[in-house]
Amino acid sequence: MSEAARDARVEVEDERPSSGWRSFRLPLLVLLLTLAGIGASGYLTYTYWFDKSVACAGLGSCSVVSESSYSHMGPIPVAVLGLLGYVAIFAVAAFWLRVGDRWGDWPLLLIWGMALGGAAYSAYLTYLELFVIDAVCIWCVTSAVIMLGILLVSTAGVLTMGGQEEEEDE
Amino acid sequence: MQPRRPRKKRSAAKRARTPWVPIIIVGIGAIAVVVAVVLGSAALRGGSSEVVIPAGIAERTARQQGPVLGEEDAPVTIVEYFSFNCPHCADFALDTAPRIEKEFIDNKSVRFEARPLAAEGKILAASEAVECAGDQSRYWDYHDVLFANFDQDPEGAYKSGRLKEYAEKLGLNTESFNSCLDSHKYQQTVIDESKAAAQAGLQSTPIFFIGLTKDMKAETVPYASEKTIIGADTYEVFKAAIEEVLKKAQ
Repeated sequence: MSEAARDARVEVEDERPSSGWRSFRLPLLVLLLTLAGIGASGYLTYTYWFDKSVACAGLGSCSVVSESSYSHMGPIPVAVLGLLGYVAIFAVAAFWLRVGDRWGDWPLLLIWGMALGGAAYSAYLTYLELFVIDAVCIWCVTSAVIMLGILLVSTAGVLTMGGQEEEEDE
Repeated sequence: MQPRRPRKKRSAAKRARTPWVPIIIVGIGAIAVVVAVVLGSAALRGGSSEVVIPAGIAERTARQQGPVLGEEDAPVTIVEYFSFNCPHCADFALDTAPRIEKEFIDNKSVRFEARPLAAEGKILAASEAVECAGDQSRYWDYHDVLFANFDQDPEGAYKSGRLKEYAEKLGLNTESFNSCLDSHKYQQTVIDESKAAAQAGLQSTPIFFIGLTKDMKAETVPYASEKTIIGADTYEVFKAAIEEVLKKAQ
């Protein structure tokens, strides 16, 4: 291998993932995960709003959780909070997909912040299910796993943020 | 003299410099929002050390026999499946049930039975406690106190000490009540009944079966009821359903 070719290869390895990865595949993955989250939280919102029983498929005790005093924050059902969170992440991811790199890393940072908050709140709710309510709702666990997935994906993006040229010693 | 280090040269190799400052700011902001939401929701759930005794209890004249309120020979029976951590059940117990009691139970038209559903976890103790109060013919008084206090303090209403405090405030024989509660006299009964209802397909609370007493007494869930009301509907809906079944009883 020629010296020039080796240098070129080293340079490619040193580069962070291309902007195409961050401004297309990453928001697309976030969008897909968010759609799944909207499905889970939307279903829970529907059952709360229309006073329907939560289909649990024999996994856990959904009605105990969804009817517990922790299922709403004042007048706002927790399921609605989750739905709003997913819709907000969806909107930013869609915006990001549309504008590409024009807004720099801000859409990614915003998604990461919302996913971090969502995952932290989901962790708190899962703690309540396991240790306070003593019952598990499979829809809530599903939502928590999806939010964790969005956090992991966006964290991978955040860790590759930057990309400015830096002087390096030889 | 030490050999001089080779002079450092600039290279064109790219290296990403992660912008930690905005990441840390956004991260702290996100966690701060979550902490505020958690503390805010705890504050909204509130907390009260005062035992709430609904006013209607002192005025109650209907007979209480275990989980049955009203006369055994009332022509119409309502069976409610409820859960002590269900806000809609609390709404029904505190708002609609007193009107049904005044209009239909006191005049011996209706007998009302309460059955537990999804009595597990933290509310199992409450479901056992109400059965213990039933031993002293105060099931419904205790039931109403539980829901009134759940309404005020959902987190603390069913703690063991509180369950005994309610019995004391209601003037029950506390020695007998505490012994019943501590020995879990009704635990298996409540679990079995709750499971049976779930196995019969009941999933949500509250759910009401309204029918002729002669049919309802001989049946178990799912009842051969004339009417089924799912959820804490308005008093007018219950009134219309009861009156319709009463007509059939005549």
